[in-house]
Amino acid sequence: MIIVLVMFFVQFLLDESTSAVYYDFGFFKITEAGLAAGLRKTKLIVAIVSTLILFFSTTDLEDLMIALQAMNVSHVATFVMMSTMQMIPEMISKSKTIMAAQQARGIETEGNLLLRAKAFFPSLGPLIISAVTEIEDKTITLEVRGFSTENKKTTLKDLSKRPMDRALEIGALVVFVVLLIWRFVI
Amino acid sequence: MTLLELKNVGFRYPLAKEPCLRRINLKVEEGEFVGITGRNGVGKTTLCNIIRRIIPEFIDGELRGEILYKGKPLSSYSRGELAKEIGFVFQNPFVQISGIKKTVYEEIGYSLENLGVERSEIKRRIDEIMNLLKIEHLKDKHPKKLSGGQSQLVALASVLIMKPRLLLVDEPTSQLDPVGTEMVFEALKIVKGTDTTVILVEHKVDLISEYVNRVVVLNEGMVVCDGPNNEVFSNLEIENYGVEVPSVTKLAYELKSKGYPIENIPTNLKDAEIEFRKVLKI
Repeated sequence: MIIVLVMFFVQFLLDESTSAVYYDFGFFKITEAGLAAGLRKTKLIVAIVSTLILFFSTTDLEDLMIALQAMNVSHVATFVMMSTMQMIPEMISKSKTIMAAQQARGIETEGNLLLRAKAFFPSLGPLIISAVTEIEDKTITLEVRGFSTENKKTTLKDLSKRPMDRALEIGALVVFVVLLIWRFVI
Repeated sequence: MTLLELKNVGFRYPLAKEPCLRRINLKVEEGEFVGITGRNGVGKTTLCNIIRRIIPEFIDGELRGEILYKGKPLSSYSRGELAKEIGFVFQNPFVQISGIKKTVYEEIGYSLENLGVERSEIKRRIDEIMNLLKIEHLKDKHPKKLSGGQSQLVALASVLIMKPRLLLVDEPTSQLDPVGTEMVFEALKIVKGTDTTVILVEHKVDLISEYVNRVVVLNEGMVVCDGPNNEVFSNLEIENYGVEVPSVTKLAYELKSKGYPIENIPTNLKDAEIEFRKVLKI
């Protein structure tokens, strides 16, 4: 959100056209071309980000993993994706634990920005080191559970497509093609 | 039939001056339930890692000697074959959770997904193993929201579901509270009833003396005692190797020194009860 706003303002303040000025502050002007440029650039971000948000809030990650595996994406790649997604909340809670431990030792973790930064950066060391050792342990435990066997992997969850899914898939494709034609041909 | 045989196995970690294991000779027969014990840092975990070939595949070091599994060198087995043959339950219950599944049910099934087992068969085996270890009530729980003991049971289930011939269990209760410890040992007792061969590393002697048939004591990188449970644990010599005898055994020796006519030194609760009732006439 902040990035979008900053981008919008930068775009729109940089405009130096002299026609169609709505308001003149002296050191900067609100112009039609400036507004248009700002909106053009930010709409791209809004479109991309909102698509991603929509996708990840409506798609179960596990389903995505199974679908990717069915498309012959390696199980290592899908595992890395899944576990990274799951790791973020874990890292946050671990970071909180470390900060609490620092606090217990009398290090100031609250106050102004500088004070908080001073407490935060040294806590990154233990956080990263513990994450790395955990990865080592995890590699070994995964090995024990047959992760590196070379057979085709199966899935417990059935992800077969229903007619409705097919219809939506085809519908989306049609809309996409129509939009392309509309944008570039007509 | 001999399942596992170690001949003069030695191992030294990189940069370490002294070898961690010097000369291990050990033979494990099919169907045995062997307990390995010894003081901290004696190389019990290293030994498990060697048997599962995590050393030298994942951990470097200088490995000597010969390891035979079913009469063939361990190195001749592929990674996939070893995953199916030798199961391993680790100390830390929480790192054994894959972290990509949302329920215990799926978590246990994950091992079989990796082995490429058919869906219906996976479901059948999950039900079977949950029923065996009596953990059906955890079925829909999130694997990361379990207690230590429950986590360890799930880890055990997800290894057992692969039907390994040999199961290595490395100090499964070292990070658990008494309730969790009890849960894990109850589960191991159930495993003992199946035909899986088990090697259990543990230094809680009171617990292993209740469950294992054979005890191996390590000291200074070598096997110093190896024999039936009641023979090894009734031998006060093991205290020289940093291993205490079980509490009931200690008590029996104490009573004997006070003049009570104890004939058979017990090493587990059941034998102790019989012996003490006889001697104290209660």
